[in-house]
Amino acid sequence: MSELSFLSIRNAGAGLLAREFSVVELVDSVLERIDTTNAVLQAFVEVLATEAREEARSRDKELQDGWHRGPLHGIPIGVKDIYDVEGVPTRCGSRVREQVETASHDAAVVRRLREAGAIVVGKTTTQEFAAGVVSPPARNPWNTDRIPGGSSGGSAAALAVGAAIVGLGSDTGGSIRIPASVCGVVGLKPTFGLLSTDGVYPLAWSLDTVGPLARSVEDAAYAFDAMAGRRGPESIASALKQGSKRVRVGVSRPHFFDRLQPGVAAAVESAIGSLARVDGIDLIEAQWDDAGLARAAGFIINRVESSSVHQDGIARHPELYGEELRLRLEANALFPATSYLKALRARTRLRESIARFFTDHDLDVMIAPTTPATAADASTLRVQYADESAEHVSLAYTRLTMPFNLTGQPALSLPCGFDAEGLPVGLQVVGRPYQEQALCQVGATIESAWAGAVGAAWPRILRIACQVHD
Amino acid sequence: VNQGQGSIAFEEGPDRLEGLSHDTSDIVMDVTDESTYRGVTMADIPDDLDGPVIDEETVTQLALIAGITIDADRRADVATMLRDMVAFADELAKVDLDGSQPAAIYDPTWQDLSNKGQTDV
Repeated sequence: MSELSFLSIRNAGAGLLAREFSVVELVDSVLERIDTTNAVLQAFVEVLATEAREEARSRDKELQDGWHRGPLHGIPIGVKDIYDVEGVPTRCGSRVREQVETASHDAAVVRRLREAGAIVVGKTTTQEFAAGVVSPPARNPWNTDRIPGGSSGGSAAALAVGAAIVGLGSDTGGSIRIPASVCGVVGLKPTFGLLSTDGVYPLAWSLDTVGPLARSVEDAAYAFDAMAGRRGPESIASALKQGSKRVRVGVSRPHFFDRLQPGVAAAVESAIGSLARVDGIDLIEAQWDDAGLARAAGFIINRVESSSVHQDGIARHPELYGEELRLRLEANALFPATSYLKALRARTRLRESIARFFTDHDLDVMIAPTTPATAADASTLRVQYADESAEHVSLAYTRLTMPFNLTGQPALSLPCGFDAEGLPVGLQVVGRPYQEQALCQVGATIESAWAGAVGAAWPRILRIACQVHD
Repeated sequence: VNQGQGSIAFEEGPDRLEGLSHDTSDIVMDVTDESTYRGVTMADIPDDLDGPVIDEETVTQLALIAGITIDADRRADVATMLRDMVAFADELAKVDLDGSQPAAIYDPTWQDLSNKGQTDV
């Protein structure tokens, strides 16, 4: 197994500039990981080996000519198959688009990543039209009987086994943060509207947010900077090197800690305990009581808009849709417009509510578990709790993430430990709108807070996880 | 008769169980929200139990209004899913919406309309 595919962006860049290895070798190491793992994990639906190697040679030539594009120069990325990649069909994991023509342009953020030097190695697996949290047929690298979460499950699974250094995802109800959480990687959902969704197939227009997944907060920040076109002093990654000022971190118990698997509760409480001992972090216990309402409004908006997106498609060829999505689209086509508008009006109120919560307690961020459960069994798709109750994954996984799609705030999921079965647990950090820099600074601080325990072992753990498939 | 922890009370009296068509007009039922029967409290029973329920017929009627066709063998499942959505909508009754306007987005800029790739809907 090549070590190159597990490098951080910073170390990969340093190695390339020092001529320790070439871009071709870096890309080859990732393609080798895809080749080794994809039969089991099915994280990629299309591998672009020839194109990636050709681009790698161009990036090498640029380096030889003294042109270094920046931190993402030569970095291999996996792109969720709802993003357009020029010359490749965007199938969205659906039979509806099986025969679709190849995309004529890159999606806007893919174009920016390529301009920054990134190399697309393939399209990653998604739930059909990004409408779900299972991402079949992809599997979780930590236990291949489990799901990788979704809908950006392919990108998350690929990162965990070194089959990409950055993965692209989209988040309408949690689809970046959920797979990041259950696959043990980092996922960043930026503020709604900050990154262009041009060239990305919509799920729900007023909630869709694109963003990166990576193996560290710093790598996610590098990718976000490129996607947002930020360079130099305005880049988040450069701000991370300066560390974080004193920050106030809110912990809101209602809703977010109500129904958790014991392993998730233990890992998150342990992480909160660690944070309490970190110099520069003030932990504030406070209550935001409207999370459940935010989730309800988010569900309505998400589902009604997705029904509208597919209104023509479901009328023309309903038989091509998967059964679950078809039912959803048909049911939500019957939902009253006044109730949809009520959810939109509620969003206005709930945005005021969360703003007041942050302001009243002078919070920089709030933290919560990302998902109430670790990776669920792929054969049952149910989450089990200690009281022997169970819940379908689609309801369980979105319970703690959806509120922040409704409010539009930026949110980050990062690993914070493991449950008793050795499955990763994710911690969600939520910031103020457009404060991605502060969010990532706090995320990096949290990440380093347990570097001595879990964090430092992370690359080794990831390698162990993927050696199963070597 | 006192069932479990509840307080459903039948007044004692002579001839109460004589015959099958006895007069029950003097039976007093002291039922409150706290009354329970087999673990179910009266407060658990929705007020609109006898009201309209979203079923296959509802789906048929709504589909007519929406101008879509839903196969007969799918209507029960669609009704179930629609009930879930209505449950979410009911939760929003707790939000004071007075004066709030829909936060729908509208982007007035003319972006590159030629670059829509394969994502045209």
